[in-house]
Amino acid sequence: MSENNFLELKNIYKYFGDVKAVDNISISIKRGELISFIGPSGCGKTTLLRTIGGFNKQDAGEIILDDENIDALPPEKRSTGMVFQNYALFPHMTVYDNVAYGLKQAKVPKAERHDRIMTALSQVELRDHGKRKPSELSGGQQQRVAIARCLVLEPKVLLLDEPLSNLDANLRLSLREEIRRIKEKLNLTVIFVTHDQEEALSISDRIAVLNGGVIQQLDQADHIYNYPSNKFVSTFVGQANFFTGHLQEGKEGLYFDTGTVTFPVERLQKADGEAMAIGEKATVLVRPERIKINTSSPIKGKVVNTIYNGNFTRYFIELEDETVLVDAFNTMDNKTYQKGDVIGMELPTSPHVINDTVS
Amino acid sequence: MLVVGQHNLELAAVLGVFLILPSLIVFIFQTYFLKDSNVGTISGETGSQNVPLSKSVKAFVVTISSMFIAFILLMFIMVVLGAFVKIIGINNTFTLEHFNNETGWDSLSMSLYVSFISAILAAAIGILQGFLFARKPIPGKKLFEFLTLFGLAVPGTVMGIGYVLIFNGPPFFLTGTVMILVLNMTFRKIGVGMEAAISKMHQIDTSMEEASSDLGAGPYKTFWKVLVPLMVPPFVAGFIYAFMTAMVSISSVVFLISPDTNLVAIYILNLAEQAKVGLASAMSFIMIVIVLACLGLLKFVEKRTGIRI
Repeated sequence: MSENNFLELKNIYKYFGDVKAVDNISISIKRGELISFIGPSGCGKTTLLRTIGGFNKQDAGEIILDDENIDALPPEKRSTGMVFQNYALFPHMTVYDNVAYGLKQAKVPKAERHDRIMTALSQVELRDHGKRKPSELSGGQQQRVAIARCLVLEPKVLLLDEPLSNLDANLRLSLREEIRRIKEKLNLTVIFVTHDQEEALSISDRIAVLNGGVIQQLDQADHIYNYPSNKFVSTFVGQANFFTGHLQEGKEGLYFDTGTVTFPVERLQKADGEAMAIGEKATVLVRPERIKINTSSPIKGKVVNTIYNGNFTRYFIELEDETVLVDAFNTMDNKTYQKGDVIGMELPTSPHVINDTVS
Repeated sequence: MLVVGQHNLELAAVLGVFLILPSLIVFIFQTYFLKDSNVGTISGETGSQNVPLSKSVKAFVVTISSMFIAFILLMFIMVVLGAFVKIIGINNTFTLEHFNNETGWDSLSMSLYVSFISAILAAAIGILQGFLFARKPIPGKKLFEFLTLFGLAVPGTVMGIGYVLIFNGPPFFLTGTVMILVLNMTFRKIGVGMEAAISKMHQIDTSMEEASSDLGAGPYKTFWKVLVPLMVPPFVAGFIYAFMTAMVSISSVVFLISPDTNLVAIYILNLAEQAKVGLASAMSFIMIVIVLACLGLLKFVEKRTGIRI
């Protein structure tokens, strides 16, 4: 039982004055799972993480870690390890002493301590940097020390609070992979807070998208991206085009009619799993890269802007009063278009129906 | 002088209030107006270009400043010369006899002792206060901070008279003791350590303390293992500054000394009044050496740690 509910948050509430920072959140996290909390600033992701670490006390709800209720424990008594955005290394201690700090508090004998420190430093590939002071290391190295400082205590859960935000782009990528690698190797349970959706998509087993202190969706990365539960998730993770219209049936089968454009579709499924009825109104999501540029398509629009992104180009296409985003990969044989060109668009036949009763 | 010469404490106290007023006004102005306006000025990468001075203006400014520098240097040279010759200007033969002055050495050691104790106390209390103000929600802490800094701003004379008035009778009869000197010097300088500590605490993110507790250290351990070591530089800087200024302070302690607790700065003043220039120069020379050493040490600490006093 405890493998699937290794860390369990039950109906957590946290208020700051009148503000509901965390509003009735329940999650079960498996042992060895890496779960990301993402959302805009103020969505409650960091508050929730700090509540698990014991830096905030929840106003209601329970936290169960490995079959033990940890609500009453202060941070130093919880077997959670926290990595901070600004590293929070002790500047007056060497790397070695920083990693030794927790072991000394736990009164681990010296010989064992040394072995464990060296193992932890090896895991983050800083074995030779023990004698340095944090100020002599790069940002990426400092964050790896902070990770080693937690790992050495073999925490049951590793809590990462935007650990890569202060690093430059390339380091972010490599450290992200390193965290994933260490997690796999040690079968660590990790909670990763970030505001960077791409980071979350690439590193996580599951993602919890938060807004207004509420979990909007908790799912695997590809599900979050392809089948977002509502408009907020659709736009927070990835780019989105929305079409609102009715499902209709014609001679050649089903089609979706927005009033200005129509395009053929297959059977559409609503959020509750029911099939959409003919004539029913809905909003569908179409990701920019799912739209194909096809000159023979009857849906025509004018290119009003383009953004070149290296591997793909984003076109802003005016379609009646709306602007539709279309991403086209820059393969050698793809034609590129300029501002003012009129192009045809082929929309996918199975767009995702958005549940817009919840915003 | 009313206190020392005529024993008219009440009139002295009234005059003291007049002395306070201008410094109070300047102090309030400084803490509440200048502090805020400073914040905005450190933004933007390209500041306005300095307009180069014209040659004549430059020459004028250089002349004026050189004159001042020369004057100050001359003063030091005269003191050093005066210390090592028989009677300066009259008998210029080299001698060390001015240093053979038992009362002088006694007052010096008393000064060192009092300054040392009060500097340690001032720095320690100041650091603790700074830590509390920066981290804990204390009701009325703005007022406390203001009062602490006021110790630096209030004229020494006023503070000296105040101490005489308070400690000249029961329940705290301290006149003539070493204690009253230490208390006076300590409370005047707490503000320095406090400000150094507050600015240092603002550099230490609370996540440092959280990291410590996350790694298994309780609040007490965290304080001693993480915060105290980080507070050493402001403590040292605060200590040196308080020590240095305590060594040379006259205005407040002049009312508090007794024959048994004479301080060297005041002793020098007395020597000069009695036209014992050689002896005064010798003691001054020692003071210059001590203060310069402190200043050098302070600059060194400031440079190494980025603490500004």
